[in-house]
Amino acid sequence: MDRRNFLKLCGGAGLALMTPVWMRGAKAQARDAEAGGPFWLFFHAGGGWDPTSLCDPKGAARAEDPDAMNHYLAADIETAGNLKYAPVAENAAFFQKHYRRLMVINGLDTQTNSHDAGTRHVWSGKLAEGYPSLAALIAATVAEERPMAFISNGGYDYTAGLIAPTRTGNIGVLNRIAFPNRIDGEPDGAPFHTDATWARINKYQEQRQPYLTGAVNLPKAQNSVSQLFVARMGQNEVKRLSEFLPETFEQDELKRQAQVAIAGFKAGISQAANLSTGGFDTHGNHDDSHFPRLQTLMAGVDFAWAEAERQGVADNLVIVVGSDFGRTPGYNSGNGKDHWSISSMLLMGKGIPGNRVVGVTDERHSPLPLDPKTLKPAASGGIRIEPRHVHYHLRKMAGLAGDPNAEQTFPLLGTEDLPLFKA
Amino acid sequence: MRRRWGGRQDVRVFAMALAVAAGCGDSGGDDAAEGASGASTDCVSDLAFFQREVSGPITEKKCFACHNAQGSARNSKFVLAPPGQTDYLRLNFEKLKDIASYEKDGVSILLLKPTAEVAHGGGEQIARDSDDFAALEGLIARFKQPVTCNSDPGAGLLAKVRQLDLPATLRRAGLQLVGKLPTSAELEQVSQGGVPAFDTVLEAYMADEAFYAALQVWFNDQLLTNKYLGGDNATNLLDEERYPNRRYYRDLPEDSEEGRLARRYANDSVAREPLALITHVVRENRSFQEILTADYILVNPFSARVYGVDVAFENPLDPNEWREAKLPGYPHAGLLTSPMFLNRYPTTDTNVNRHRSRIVQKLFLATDVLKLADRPVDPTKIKDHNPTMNNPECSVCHAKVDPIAGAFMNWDAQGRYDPREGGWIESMRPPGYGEQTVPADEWPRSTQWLAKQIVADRLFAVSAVSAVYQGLVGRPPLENPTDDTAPGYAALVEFVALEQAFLGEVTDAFIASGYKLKSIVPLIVRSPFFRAYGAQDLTEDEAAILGPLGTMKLLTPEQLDAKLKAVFGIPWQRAASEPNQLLARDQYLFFYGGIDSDQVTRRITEPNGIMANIGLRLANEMACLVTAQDFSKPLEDRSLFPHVDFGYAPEDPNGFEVPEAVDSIKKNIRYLHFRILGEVLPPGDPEIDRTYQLFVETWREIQAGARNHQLSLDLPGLCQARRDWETGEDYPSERLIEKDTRFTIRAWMAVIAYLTADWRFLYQQ
Repeated sequence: MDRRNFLKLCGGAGLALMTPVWMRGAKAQARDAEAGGPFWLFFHAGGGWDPTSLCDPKGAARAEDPDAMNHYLAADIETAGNLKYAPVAENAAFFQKHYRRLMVINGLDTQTNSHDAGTRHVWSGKLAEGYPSLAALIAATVAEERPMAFISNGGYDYTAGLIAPTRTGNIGVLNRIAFPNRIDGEPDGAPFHTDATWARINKYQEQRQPYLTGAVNLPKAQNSVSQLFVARMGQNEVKRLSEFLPETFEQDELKRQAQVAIAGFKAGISQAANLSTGGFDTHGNHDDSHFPRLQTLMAGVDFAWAEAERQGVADNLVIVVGSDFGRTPGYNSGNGKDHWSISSMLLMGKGIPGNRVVGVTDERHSPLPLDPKTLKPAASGGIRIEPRHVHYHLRKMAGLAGDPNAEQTFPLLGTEDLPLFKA
Repeated sequence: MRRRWGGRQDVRVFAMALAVAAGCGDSGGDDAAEGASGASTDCVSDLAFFQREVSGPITEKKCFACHNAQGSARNSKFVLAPPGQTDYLRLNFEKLKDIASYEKDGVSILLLKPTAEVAHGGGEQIARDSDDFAALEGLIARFKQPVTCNSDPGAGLLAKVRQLDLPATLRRAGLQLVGKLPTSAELEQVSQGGVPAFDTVLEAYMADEAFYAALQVWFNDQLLTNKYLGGDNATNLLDEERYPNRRYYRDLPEDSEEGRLARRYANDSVAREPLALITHVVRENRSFQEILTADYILVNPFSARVYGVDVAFENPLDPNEWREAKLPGYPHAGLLTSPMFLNRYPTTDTNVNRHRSRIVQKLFLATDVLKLADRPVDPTKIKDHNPTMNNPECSVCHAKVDPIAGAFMNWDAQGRYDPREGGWIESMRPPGYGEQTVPADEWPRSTQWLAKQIVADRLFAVSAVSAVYQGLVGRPPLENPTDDTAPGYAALVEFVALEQAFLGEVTDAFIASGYKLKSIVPLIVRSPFFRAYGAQDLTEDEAAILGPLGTMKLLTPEQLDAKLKAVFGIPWQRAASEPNQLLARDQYLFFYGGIDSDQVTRRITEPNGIMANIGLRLANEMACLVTAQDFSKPLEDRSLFPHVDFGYAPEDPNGFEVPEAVDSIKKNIRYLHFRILGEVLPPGDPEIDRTYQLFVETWREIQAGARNHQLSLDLPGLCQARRDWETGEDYPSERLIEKDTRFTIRAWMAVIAYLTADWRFLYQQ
């Protein structure tokens, strides 16, 4: 069985699979020459955000509107360039600062009210189970050899066995992780073993791999042997992360996630990261609960951009922001909002046309069918923008065109080529 | 044969694969594992035939849209279980079998209805000359004359699958269940006595406290109630008016040991109560149904005080002494009414217990109702009045969700028993379970009523078996794939059939045992799903089918911690007073894929670069901590170096080999391969030689470095044997090992690190 078939099998079975170490040489060399694809940050607003409180504003017709979409007035909706935004939370600060590089996709049809299904659909481009998250697909395709190619802090991080996700914890112990043979994790500190002994241990472990693979030749066992050896290939590269981690870490969790991911990009050991913050599932007391979460989210995006600029990787960074789905038009009896399948996405960074909005929804936040050529509301017929349409282009931007993983194993069959990103 | 299955070859492979399952229940011993002859067979079991020929192409695609519990044919006799429901294949198989028994003029209704030869609301769905019709005919023939496949464990694909022998299975089970290595007496007992002896030892393991700790980890991965461990996280959830003593420990001096312990024990005892109930039921060997039907709450001396209940304890300071108690005016229904469970899965005024309903079905009925919403829905087109009742897009889920939600009607968002004034919400389906509604006089105890319905459903047993299976095998049972364009679809269907058939048998046995949870463990442990480790000469198709087989998964932090203690006698801690580096949240727990039951609830099962490095650090640090320490003990007390002393150098000062020393070193290496990795290697095995090379080369390096004064004789401080790891007391001078005077300590450290970093140690073996 060749690697591709094996990968298909294990991916379909929900199993992990890493490229066996003996298959990597030529591919890794080829990748080095192609290095430089964009880095990716995927911000997930867990629980289902409310686009009408953010980038697809729908205000109340009047102060006593009995079925108000929101408690702010339609007349108070604000603009930044071509973008409209809801006059709540700290939206103004964010949109005014970033609108030139920001693209908004409204009326995104997630086709579900289920948290799991919506999260999967938005981040994999497929409603059904089985497809990896875009972050995992990108990392596996263009940065497979990097030891922390895919960092996940939540959201949808199914990998289909293409690559192992990395989760971060207390940053303070990273040095000890980066230098496993130094007793206290200091690069020049006392070692457990002499460097020569340590190299010898590693050498004999490598020599032992064929024995192990032969001794446990069940597919899953061989696969897991390979996993471990592949993961260890990057043991020295992990050290580079510590060189680029900031001196101090933010208190805010989302910002801290961004700091680690961007340090990973800078160190050349990471390619894509899921950043996640929750609390958006506001079935009750919507405004008071939801707006602070939006504020945290947008502050996190803003911070990430600034951090990327500080680290010198902003020119090569794409940020995508999304959520499980949207929230119902108007308020329920508990002053909350329930699940609604129509959502939005925000994008910024390399290759993303700024100051641009595509997709249109009506006053009750239902999407208007679009002409697939112009993306204007269609006179008749028309289509809705679905996650797969966005993924179709993001895959291209990531350099996945022609890759068997993307086009054969996890294809977006029948997806129309919408001019989403044509400024 | 249907086109997409690729003809007779698939049948043969599948039939061979079936033999794996057929032999899995009790094939047991060493002999079942290796060398069986490989007579193949074309046999396809009835359930496999149904899955492949009927369920996928016909009932799921053509019938289910109407013939489901909420569909337009819901009032017919032919109502199918949804694919999102575990065990749906078997349920639907039985349903079709029942329907097929109705005939008109000698022809089964199962043929007449879909061809519209008798009145059928859905009209003609199947043509008489189609593959589908032939498949239904074939199924009816099998109903009349069931096909029993050859269950000879030596036949078919099993001949190519190698299973651990019983002693090796015992090692794997011992580490998994109780975090212990089998004693030599136990290994001998199992070697001599076969399966009965194996079961006896396993039973003893399941009486060990460590087994209950493992159970708690398994079930917390599902319940996630350990979220409330620490601080006042659990006691803060309790209503101060009803439980005025909820934080009684605050009356104690905060900076005193007594105050700190009281706070910790009180909070954590309240937090652990749901898991304590599970282990209590299992420990007492009661029906597992009691986890939902228990008309009591478990308390220990600390939580009893929190709840203000008067219970007598043998030792009022023992947090492990649990007793059954009743809270006044509280209609207990086991886990379902546990304050921790109700808080972990809260509700709101508009959610009205639907979240609780979903979780109950997921945890105790093996049903993921969200999967029913996996297909595209368009709420923007929904204009119905009360759509959860009236619109099929909504009712497909809500008909399953809402009755159970209603049965939680007496519990508020904070988990308090607080019956609603005026009863349940009229615009929702009435409280109930399936087609049954809660009798009006049972409304005050509706959750107790619900619990009785749940535990009487076979799906409750299925969920219990699934939980144990996941705990032992390391993943939940795989689900039948729904997307036939997905990669690996065909092979996965085959494997799911194998696995479901096996789990069906285990479920039957569990029910027959009176729902004794312990009855599940040996059945799974003795099966190839737990024991398989290798295979020979697999074709591509065979490898595809067997892809998911085996337990070779990265150990969780908790499992690795248990293994470290079993093998080395200590966890990854520099001293007993230092943090456990694998389990402490501010150390490596999250980096190594662990969970906090709150924000991080899914384990990482594939190692990444960070985890790989942690494994290496673990190996180095453990080698440092244990090597000199073990040498400092008398020979008879050593667990790692029973065959050598640190004075055993492989060469004399002139560089000549010392044969006796070399023999002892190799003997100890062989021993370490077994102790650390579970490898049984014959003397002279190349793997022993490889490890010996590592030893001797390192020894030479250290010796040369020391003689050239480039290396100190002093061991790194952390690696010296100077004080007792547990107590911190200094050793007497005769036990001190601070220097590596014979250069062997560091050579053995290299060996220990080499083996501890091995795949066999870090993965489940």
